[in-house]
Amino acid sequence: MSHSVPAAKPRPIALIVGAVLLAIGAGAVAFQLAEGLVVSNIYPFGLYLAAFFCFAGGACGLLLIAAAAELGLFADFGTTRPLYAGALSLLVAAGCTITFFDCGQPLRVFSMIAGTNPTSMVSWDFYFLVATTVIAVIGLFKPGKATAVIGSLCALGIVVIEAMILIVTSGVPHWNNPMIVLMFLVDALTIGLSLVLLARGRSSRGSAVALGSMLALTLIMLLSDTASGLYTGDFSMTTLITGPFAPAFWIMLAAGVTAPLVLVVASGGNGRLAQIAAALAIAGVFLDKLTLLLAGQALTATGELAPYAIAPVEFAGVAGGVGLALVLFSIINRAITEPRRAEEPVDESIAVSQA
Amino acid sequence: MTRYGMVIDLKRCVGCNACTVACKFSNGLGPEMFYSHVRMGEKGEYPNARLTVEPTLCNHCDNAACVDVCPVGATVKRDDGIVSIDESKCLGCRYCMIACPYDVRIFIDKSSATDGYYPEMGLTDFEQGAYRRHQAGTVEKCDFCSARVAQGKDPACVHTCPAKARFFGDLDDPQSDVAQLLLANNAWVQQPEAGTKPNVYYL
Repeated sequence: MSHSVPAAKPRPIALIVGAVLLAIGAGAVAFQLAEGLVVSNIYPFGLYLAAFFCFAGGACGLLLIAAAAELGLFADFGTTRPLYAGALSLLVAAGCTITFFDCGQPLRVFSMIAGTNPTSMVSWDFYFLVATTVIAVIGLFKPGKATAVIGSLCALGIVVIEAMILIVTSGVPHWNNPMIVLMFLVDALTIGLSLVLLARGRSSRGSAVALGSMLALTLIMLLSDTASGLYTGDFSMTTLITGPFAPAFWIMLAAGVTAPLVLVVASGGNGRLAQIAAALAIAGVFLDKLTLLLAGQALTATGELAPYAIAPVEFAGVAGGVGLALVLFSIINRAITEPRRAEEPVDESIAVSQA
Repeated sequence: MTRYGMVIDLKRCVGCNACTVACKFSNGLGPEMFYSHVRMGEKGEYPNARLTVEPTLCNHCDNAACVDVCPVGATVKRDDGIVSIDESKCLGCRYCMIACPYDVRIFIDKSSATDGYYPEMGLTDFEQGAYRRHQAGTVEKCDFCSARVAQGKDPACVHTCPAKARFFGDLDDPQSDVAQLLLANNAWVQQPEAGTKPNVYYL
């Protein structure tokens, strides 16, 4: 698709904020190199994995949006290059977060290139992430229908595989729920649409309706999960509804799903309101992933509730991941997307519909 | 073919944790690190309440979830039935810890090599020697004391149990103690619903 619409210029503020967060993340890497990865034996999956799922999910969402735009389903998205730039930045952030923060032996991740275990979902995730990163790079230079279709297939693959990482885990009954695939897909699109709204600085009917639909779906799925958890007395759901993770769960439901849904519906083309809704929606998806992970691990093999605490270095690590994505996006946008956008012909009909 | 397994007779177990201590000593495990431990619980209500004890360790499952999920093949099911970890391959992703329904895997962080039982004295000579075998950033678990088994000895927990509640041997050898016990008793395994086919049985 060669049409182009003048979009909001990349703001240096994103680069500055990204650089500050990246510096915090670099500090976290140094700390972990010195002190080692500190992991609770009861909660092996925590903040880092929730952030990884969000980064990778966001990238998948952007690739799916790029495919929809290329196929003419979202006419108002204009050129898809910024979407590929965003996807690439998020994929790199996801890879760095899971490798350098969450792995006890980060360099051994690359041993998966030479030999891997085909029965492990993590192996498949690794290969799909690498393939999707290559597609995102291609999309930056040569966007088009073929790239979009392959990119969307890779994105769907990542969504399914990352959901399957949890679903096939026999040790955690709370995750043995096929609905997680749908939840991860909706989460990916929610982050993708929210990032588009945030980056463009203005609202459009198409993206607002799409984000509202995703949030409505999330709300329905979460409420039905909550209701079934109350009915069955599932221990993990109890930790979310009335237990130690209840504050995070209810804040997520109220401020991360319901509030952005109301705001995006009420925004009516108001860019600022839509942006607030988008930011809240991203935070909501992050809390949703985190509470899903923690609730599943809360029950020990002895049937007791395990305490959980997040180390400050984990927050710094996640901030570093966000910073890396922001810095990369700013740089790629300035170096590749913007110069090429200037060379591309403007599709007048799209520009008029935008106006 | 040899297929090692263990039978634990709960009617004989007194919950003394001698197995836990022997395991920690044999494997050089520091504070808060266990390959094997005794789960204590309560059943019933006063005045009919009673204490339950359930020694637990890696079940060396035939259908081990940890083997399936390891992305680099660091966890393997050996021909003799022992599920072991190659620490030189483990990337410390901890997916195996999540996948294991029995919570018997531990992550080795840097403190595992620096924190001893007597912090005011630093590491004892024994701790300095024993901690060297652990690799920070990897996952470890019970391997049925495979070094001892290779020498024809029983695992440390079996050797130590004062109540003779633990039995170790070849499940495929009809003459072995473990095979005879399984034949003569109604044995059960932990969490059969997980579908992992454990090789540690309880009587």
